[in-house]
Amino acid sequence: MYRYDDRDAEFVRERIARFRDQVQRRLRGELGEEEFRPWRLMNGVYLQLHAYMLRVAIPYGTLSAVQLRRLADIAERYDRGYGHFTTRQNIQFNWPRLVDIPDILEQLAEVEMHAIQTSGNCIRNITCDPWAGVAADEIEDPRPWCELLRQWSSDHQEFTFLPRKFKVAVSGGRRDRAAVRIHDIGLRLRHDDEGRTGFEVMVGGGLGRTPILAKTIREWIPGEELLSYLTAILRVYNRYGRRDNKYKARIKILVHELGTEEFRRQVEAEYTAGRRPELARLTVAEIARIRPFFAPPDYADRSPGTDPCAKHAAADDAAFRRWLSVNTAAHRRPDHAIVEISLKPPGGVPGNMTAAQMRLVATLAERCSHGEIRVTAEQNLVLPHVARADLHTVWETLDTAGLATPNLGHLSDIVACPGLDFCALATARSIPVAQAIGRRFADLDRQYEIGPLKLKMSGCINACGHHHVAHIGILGLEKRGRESYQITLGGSGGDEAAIGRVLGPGFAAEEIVDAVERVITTYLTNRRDPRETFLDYLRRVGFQPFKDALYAPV
Amino acid sequence: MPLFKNGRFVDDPWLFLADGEPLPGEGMVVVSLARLLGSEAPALADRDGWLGVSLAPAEPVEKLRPWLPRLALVALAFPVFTDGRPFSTARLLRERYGFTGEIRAVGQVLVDQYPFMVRSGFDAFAVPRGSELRGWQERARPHLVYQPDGRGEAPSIWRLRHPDPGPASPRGIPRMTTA
Ligand code: SF4
Repeated sequence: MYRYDDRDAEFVRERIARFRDQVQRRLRGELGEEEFRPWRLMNGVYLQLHAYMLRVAIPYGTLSAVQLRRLADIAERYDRGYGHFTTRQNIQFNWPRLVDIPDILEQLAEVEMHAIQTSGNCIRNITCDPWAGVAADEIEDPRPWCELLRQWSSDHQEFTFLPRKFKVAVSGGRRDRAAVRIHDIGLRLRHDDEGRTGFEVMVGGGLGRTPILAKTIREWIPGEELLSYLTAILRVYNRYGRRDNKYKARIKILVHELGTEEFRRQVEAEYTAGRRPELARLTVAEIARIRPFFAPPDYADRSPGTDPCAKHAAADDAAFRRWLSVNTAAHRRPDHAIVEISLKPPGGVPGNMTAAQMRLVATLAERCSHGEIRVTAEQNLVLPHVARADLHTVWETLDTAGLATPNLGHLSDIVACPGLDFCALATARSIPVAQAIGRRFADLDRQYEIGPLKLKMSGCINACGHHHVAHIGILGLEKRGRESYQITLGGSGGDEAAIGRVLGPGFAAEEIVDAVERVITTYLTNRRDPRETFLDYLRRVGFQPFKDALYAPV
Repeated sequence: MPLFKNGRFVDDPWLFLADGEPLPGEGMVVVSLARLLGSEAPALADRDGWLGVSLAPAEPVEKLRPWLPRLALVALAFPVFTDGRPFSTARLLRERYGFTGEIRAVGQVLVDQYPFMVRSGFDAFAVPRGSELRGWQERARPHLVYQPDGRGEAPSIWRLRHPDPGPASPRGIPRMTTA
């Protein structure tokens, strides 16, 4: 993992001191709410429905056991004993008092964490593949580059007052697990023929009111030129992105209005005129400095011959085997596995975790995952380095804390934003609906029969729950004072990225679970065979059978 | 309007002319871009005395290019402080066009933005009336940053870490070898 040097630490401390000063001026009335707002947002502080909310960055989703334990302490001391993991590798605390926030930030800084630019019209927390460094299909670990971008984007002199928020994701796998195409900039790490590291650059993705997938504007930019190239993209956006209408201010609208070709031409012209050799030289030096932090841990050789997994599997430990096949994935080392920790127990709040659970996972990570944890866009956690020989112990331990629900990638592994229970922008509740769906489909055998399925829901058009890229997406709206839930089908993230289509009018809160049930039944009764997944079926037959099932007069 | 420059408040020798106002025979004047490029252009070019121009966020700095040798001041307006376009404009003026005159922030100029402005190339700040002037003297200081390509005195962590980074290898950055 990356570790701060004295200068990184000083940077964060100085930034907290500035924010403390801003908070005090706000509390004394010297700063009005309007003038205070951008600074509070850029330090992760939202004003929600009931209270302030603090959003803490987990840069590129990598977390140490020590850091997770500190998050547990903060959850207990300043929240109500839990934290909420978001879809952008952040964690949110819902009940802090504004005057306490600078102290919380200092406690975070002690473990090399911060809340810098987790909100506001600036470059947000850089996200990446949660399996970075361990995935069997990885081209190269993208995290040194994410760390470079974290530093470069922090307090950027030119790009801190953009037309709108700006999200960057980096993927280093052959498969894209960072959903780069729904980001303002998506980077896919690639090697050229001479083995040099570089990136395919995609621009203009985003969800919200106008969901669009990012377009490739450069097949390959050499690594040392990355920052000059990103500067060019951001400069074109900062200068020409729309500022007259909040809903048209994201870079996707600029790319759309100019056309991809014209946008590319402007970026290339700016890049050529503005290339900075010093930036390239420092990138080379800085990447060389950062890379060793991400060297693989010292894996003890765990011979598969003594693999107790095999033993337990043979011993017909059905629950363990289910978990093993659903919640673990191939590690680059055959004697290790990637373990996914589901934060979606039946009837639970997606992404919520109690302080006690955080401590348990921290200890488990120290014992069995080289002290490392990852956070996913699916609101789950990952233990990235578990020896196969330890899998049974890990499973048992997780199970005691309700963290071993074997539902990864299945229907009850629901992604949901906080919605109207917390969020000031929400038009409908999302948590209770997610809980009701989770309970209705709690039966695991039924979920396995349904097969891989992604259900995601958002409490308003901002789409923080990524419903557009779900196989089944639910969007909570408000129609004449009542909550109304719209269903979209056929979305997908990653390599086969697609935006889902709205099926028809929304459903009332009491109807939405039944509506999902009808969608599922339609698929189950009509699929060719159990190997035809929901998405395959939908792509084969189209939307009509689902429309009939949902809207046909009874 | 109080003018903050080089860490203190100074007298402002410049006269900002509204578009209808007659051009004085001498003295340091600032005109709008429209006026600079309009029918008075020859008079402005030949006029004795220093000349400045003020630019709204949407006005392209590229248009100033032929005028830059003749200009001693460019004022960049922040109608609202959240409009970040002038940051790009200032950098282009300094870094691309090599402008060495004064770049002044005018409009809704907040002390909390001072570090970003200085690093983008601003060196004068028209502090809005009613601002706490003492606050400016206390808070307008450079602080540690990462970016190596800023102006002003803010130390860049990357430069401190790599005082002599050497030339970028023509072979680029080789793939990371960990496997
Ligand atoms: S989607 Fe809407 S309701 Fe949900 S968190 Fe985002 S802004 Fe809030």
